[in-house]
Amino acid sequence: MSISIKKLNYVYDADSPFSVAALEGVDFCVNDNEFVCIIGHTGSGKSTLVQHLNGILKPTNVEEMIIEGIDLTAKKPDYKSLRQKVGMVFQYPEYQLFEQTVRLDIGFGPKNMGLTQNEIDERVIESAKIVGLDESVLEMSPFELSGGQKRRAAIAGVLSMRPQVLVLDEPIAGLDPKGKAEILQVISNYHKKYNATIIMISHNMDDIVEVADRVVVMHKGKKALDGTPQQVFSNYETILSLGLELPTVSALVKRLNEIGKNVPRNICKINDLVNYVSGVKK
Amino acid sequence: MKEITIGQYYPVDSFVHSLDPRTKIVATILIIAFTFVCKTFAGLLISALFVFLVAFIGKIPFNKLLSSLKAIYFILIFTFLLNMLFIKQGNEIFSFGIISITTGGIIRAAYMAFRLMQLIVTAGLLTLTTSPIQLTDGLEKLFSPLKIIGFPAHEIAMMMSIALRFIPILTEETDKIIKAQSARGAVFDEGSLFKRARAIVALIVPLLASAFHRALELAGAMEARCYHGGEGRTRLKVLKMQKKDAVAFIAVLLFCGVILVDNLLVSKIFPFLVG
Repeated sequence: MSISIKKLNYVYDADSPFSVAALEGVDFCVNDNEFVCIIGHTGSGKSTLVQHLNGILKPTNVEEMIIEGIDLTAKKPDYKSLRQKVGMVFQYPEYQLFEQTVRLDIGFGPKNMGLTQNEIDERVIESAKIVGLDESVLEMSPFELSGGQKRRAAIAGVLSMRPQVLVLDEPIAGLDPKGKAEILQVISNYHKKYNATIIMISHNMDDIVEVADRVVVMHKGKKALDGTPQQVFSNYETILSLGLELPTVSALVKRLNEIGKNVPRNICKINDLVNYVSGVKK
Repeated sequence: MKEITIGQYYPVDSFVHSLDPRTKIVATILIIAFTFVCKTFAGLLISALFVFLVAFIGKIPFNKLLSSLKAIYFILIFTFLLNMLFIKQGNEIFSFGIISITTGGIIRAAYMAFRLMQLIVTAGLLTLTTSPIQLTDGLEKLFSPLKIIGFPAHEIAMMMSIALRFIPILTEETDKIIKAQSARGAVFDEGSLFKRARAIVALIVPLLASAFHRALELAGAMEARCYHGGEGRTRLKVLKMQKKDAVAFIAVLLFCGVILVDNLLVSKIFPFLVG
């Protein structure tokens, strides 16, 4: 088990008149090597939840919280090794770039981990390769890069720490379709190559359906749905009532059912639909 | 970051809030000036009571009013100590080597600290009861006579309101960058001074980069809406002096008068009390 959280509560600005309960009794368990996507409306608590995973936010109270073998309910949890095990890519990560060269910036995390210069160099080159940055880019200033390159450099800066759990908060927001596809490819490559656990917040249902093993739907600080994409997205009414949209394929299946065609509700991937349709034709 | 009251408007509906910002700016300057003119303990007490009274009318909670003092407590202690150690008046009550503390020194130090507190609280009261926009509008109006000699009153007011507007945005941004760099193992609150200074680079560089980025975008947006400086620019809300502004002015002038009379009387009757 990679992550095991039980009854997590978090209150923003506790003890002040402005206190807001952001998470209420959330259970969140993730298996090793699982690819989990979290969806939810703005303010549903999804960012708050993932920021607990590397100790940036500390729970107001929680029953159990073990992440990669580190017990965060202990008196003095080992945040340093937690942050090495859980890598976090924030929204618009390109705003964290700061070093003179891309090479130094990608090496910032490994350097903070106390690795030797050789190990750092090795990891920088490997991470650049994973995200698809050319080695010639490494000597440039991060501020000279294009938008998509900046995003990739920033993600490489997190991957270079070789996190066992990679958490991404809307990693593809604000990119063009090609850029989006490239970043998703990077994430899925890292997932496969390092057997890493991936937790990704996203609004793009069509992508989620293709990559996720499991989908968690958050609503008003609570977990609303949790299951495989097929299970979650067959709950058309719940998904729509929470102000979320269906994947294109699910929306199509829903419409087909409305006009009297009997298509299984749990079809949400394009290939599954193609197989089903060609099966029916024969 | 959160303790600084400047720019933190406390939005309630009160007599003080509804005054013209120009009235409030001039009144603040007068109150502060007369607190420094004031030479007696009684006078300082009166000025403190006056400010509390204004805060009460302005419906400002007591702790909000005093919270701005947190930001300057170090300066307060420092000023108090300096004054106490270097002013030699009256009887010596303690001496050790070159250090000697006198009654006069303590009194003067207490006066100075009190005046500083009064300065901060009064200025804080102005920003608590006046929104940043009103404040800059008021300043622009007050300085506009100087336009004749080429003083850029409008431009300065515009820069001020933009700066104020950006404080919360940059605070939020700082918070985000700190989180992102901590996730990469940066440590901002531990280690030697040199280490911390080195760590802060990881915060300052992205913050500056994004501030410049935002500034460029804002400039573009302003030009796209035909902003061309203050000339010929009209306002949605035109500042207008009302009767209550006159009332407020009379109250402040009365206060100034009391302080002056107090100064004259006390320095004649009890000269030893004057600090």
